[in-house]
Amino acid sequence: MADGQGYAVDLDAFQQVLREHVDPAVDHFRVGADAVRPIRDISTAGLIGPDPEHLYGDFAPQADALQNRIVAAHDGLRDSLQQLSEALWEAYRVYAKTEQAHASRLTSVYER
Amino acid sequence: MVNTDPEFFAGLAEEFFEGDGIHLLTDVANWADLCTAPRGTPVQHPDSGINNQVYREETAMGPSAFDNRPATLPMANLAIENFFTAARLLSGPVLADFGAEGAPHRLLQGAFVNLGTNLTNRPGGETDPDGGMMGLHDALERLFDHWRGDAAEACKDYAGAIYTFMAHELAVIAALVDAITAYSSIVLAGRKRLIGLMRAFVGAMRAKEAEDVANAQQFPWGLVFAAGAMLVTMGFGLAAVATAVVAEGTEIAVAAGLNEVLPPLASMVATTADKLLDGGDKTIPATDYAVAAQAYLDAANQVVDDTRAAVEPLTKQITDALDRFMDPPAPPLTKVKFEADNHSLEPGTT
Repeated sequence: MADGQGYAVDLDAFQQVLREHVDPAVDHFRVGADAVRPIRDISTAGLIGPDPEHLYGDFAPQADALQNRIVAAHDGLRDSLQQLSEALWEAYRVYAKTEQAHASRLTSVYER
Repeated sequence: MVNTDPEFFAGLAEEFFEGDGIHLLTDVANWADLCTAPRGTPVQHPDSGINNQVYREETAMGPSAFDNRPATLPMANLAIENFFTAARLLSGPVLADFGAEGAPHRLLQGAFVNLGTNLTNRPGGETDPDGGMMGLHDALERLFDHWRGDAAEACKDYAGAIYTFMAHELAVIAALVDAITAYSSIVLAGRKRLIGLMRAFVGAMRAKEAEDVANAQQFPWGLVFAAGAMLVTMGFGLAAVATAVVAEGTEIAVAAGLNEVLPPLASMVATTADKLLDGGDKTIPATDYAVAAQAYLDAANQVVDDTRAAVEPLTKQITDALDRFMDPPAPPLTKVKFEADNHSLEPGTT
């Protein structure tokens, strides 16, 4: 594991975990977020039908509100995870570039 | 008039037609007709021994019309439709639509399974050993085995926040799925209760008509206890599953398919609605037509009131979930941040 002044990373393992575990888990969540999103377009009041006596109170509007919050939260987490994934890959590239530069400097010193 | 036209019953929920089609409804309508038709109006009542026909009696003054209904009839300010008011009020929701493919209950169940497996990992099955998946939280934990530093620490905090959020989201979805299931169960139980009530009403009227029963004979009908808030503890609740997933790491097996993980709404609702019904000790007396009819109408109104009262705590449960709703955490690192200042991860700066 390369060890800089403020961080330590095993680049190969880092990349492998990103590719084999983190990204599939992010993708799995994204698929779930996509699947639940259509609920936003379904009106509970429409399913309940006519309710002239307001028998069911605010059940329908509150259920719709919660459904919309769930979809928004799923989409929010999906975006958040997507950004994290991109950031982690960027981090990998930064670390790799740094390590490469570090190795290059060492090689230059050695060759002198 | 008597109304046996199927159009008269249009709009009533399908449960009211189960079994013998419109026979029960027709019976209720006929007996309601007997109770409400203005005196002297011809009333058809095919099963009635006192069929409310207008008879003509030859008297010394010539032919005279009379009907043979009791003096307590007709009941004031009532029409046949009043005997179906409660049934119509409970007929709005098409319960099958709640559990259909693409309907909220199904979509939420899918989201529940997706979140649950992402929290607990997804094992590969025998037929698909490579189909397993490490959950997000564990995947990030694995990353931290190979990465240390300030940026890693920030991501650790984020991973913890994700776990907390996903566990919260799982509980919220479970609460909503349970509320929809409970709502559907309450409506179905209310309909079943009304059907029992209709049968008791018809039975009482027939018994009175036959006049071969003791006045004390009464016809029981099913009760529903208004227990919306208790429904989630009756055994179908996803809330308990959510707790097991989060607190104990219990895996949700998805290999067998959603239907086997979480039963379709219809079967859960039918089972739960039956649990909400009991034999009860409420009765419709067979002592008098008007008394029996009024008892039926009062009990039908009570079904409506009980349904309203049972749904209220479900609405509160949803409102509470909205009030406590947690927004997803923002990522500690973004590509945009790196592009603006990627030196933040370079050696010597963290």
